[in-house]
Amino acid sequence: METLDGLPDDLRVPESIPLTKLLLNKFQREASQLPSTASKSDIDSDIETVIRDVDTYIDTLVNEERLSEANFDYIDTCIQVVERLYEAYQLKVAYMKLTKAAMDDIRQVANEAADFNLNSLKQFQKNPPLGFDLTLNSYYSSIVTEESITKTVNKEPKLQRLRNIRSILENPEDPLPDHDSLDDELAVSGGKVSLKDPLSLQFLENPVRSRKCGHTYENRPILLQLRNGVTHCPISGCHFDLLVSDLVPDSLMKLRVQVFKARQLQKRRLTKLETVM
Amino acid sequence: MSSLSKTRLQEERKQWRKDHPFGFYAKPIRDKDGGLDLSQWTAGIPGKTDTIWAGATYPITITFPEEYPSKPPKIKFPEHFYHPNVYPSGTICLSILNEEQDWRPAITLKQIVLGIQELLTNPNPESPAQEPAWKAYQKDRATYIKKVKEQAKKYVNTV
Repeated sequence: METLDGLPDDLRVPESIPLTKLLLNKFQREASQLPSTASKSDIDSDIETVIRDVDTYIDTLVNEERLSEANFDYIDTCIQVVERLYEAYQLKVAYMKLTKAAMDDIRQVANEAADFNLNSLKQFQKNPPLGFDLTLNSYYSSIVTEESITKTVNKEPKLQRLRNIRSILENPEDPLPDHDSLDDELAVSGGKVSLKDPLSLQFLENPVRSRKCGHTYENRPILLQLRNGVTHCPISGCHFDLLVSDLVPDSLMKLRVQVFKARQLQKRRLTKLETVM
Repeated sequence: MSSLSKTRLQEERKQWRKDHPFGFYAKPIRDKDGGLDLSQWTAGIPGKTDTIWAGATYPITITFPEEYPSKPPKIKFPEHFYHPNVYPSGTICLSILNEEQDWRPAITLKQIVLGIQELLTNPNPESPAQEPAWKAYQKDRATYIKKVKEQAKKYVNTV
């Protein structure tokens, strides 16, 4: 690197060599040590498998009339597995974003250094301008926190559904916990969820929920009502109008009623047993 | 009677028998063969204690239409019942009993009778339904109170 004389002063060094290349290599080394190299589709299919297992387990409980004796350890483990899978994926997404951001920064610094040419190369290598010393770790600690990952993971609808199922198995009449908010003080508590159809006052069997106002009704009566030309939601004080297309099956409510009835049945059996003894 | 209105009324009856507000009564009337007609009920609304309506239970008839609970039940006091929001025919003027206004199929019998009890002591001056009670309530409160108390004697609690 000593015979640079005679070359034009304004000769620019291609962006990729030699300094940036060095740093790029460094990043590539770090990138290869990412916590998870699984693809999104791999993770998704793993999550699907766990969710299918839980669904099958609950179906079995329903069919064998054992809904009142759900194994919470099993369900908790399944929830944890799904949490870990989503976390791994989020971590990977975060790393990829950061790697790209870091690389962009390096390119920019290299371009902005106007006197970055063969003549100044030695000087440059000795005293890299600010920003060239960036490593993935410094980016990582500045942007991705455990809390931000947990927050994103908690918003995953499939994970929320699993947690809701668990809550219903334990307390079929309780409102669902607010998984989104990390602030426990803000969570509203108290009150019971009605398991009966507001129109027939019977236990819900095929519940449908309005996507507009979130109220739940039994399928047949509400359809009858809509067919007869009544469009407003039957709940007093609710000002939403309904269309048949607003109604979607409410599988969680169905589970609530099933769990509730199973528990009642078990209670009756126990009382009978006590009377006999 | 449609099957929805039938199941609903059976459940209303079941729930009422299991639990209803103190001092109230409500039951389907028996037809001449002794069978129950779930579309026709009689009920009693006790006046709130410590009000001019106290000490009496006011009778009402409840008629559930074919389209119940899509449509509200029709509820009547006896003819010429003295109250600003009751028509001379006895029909009650109350927004939750009006299909065009605040009726919702989720409103239960219990909520209706409690609403009527509330209306007794708190008439709505915005919707007059009869001349004598409304005028007296607005302009001559002493006469109004006297008339209401006289009426209370007519429906005094027998127990």
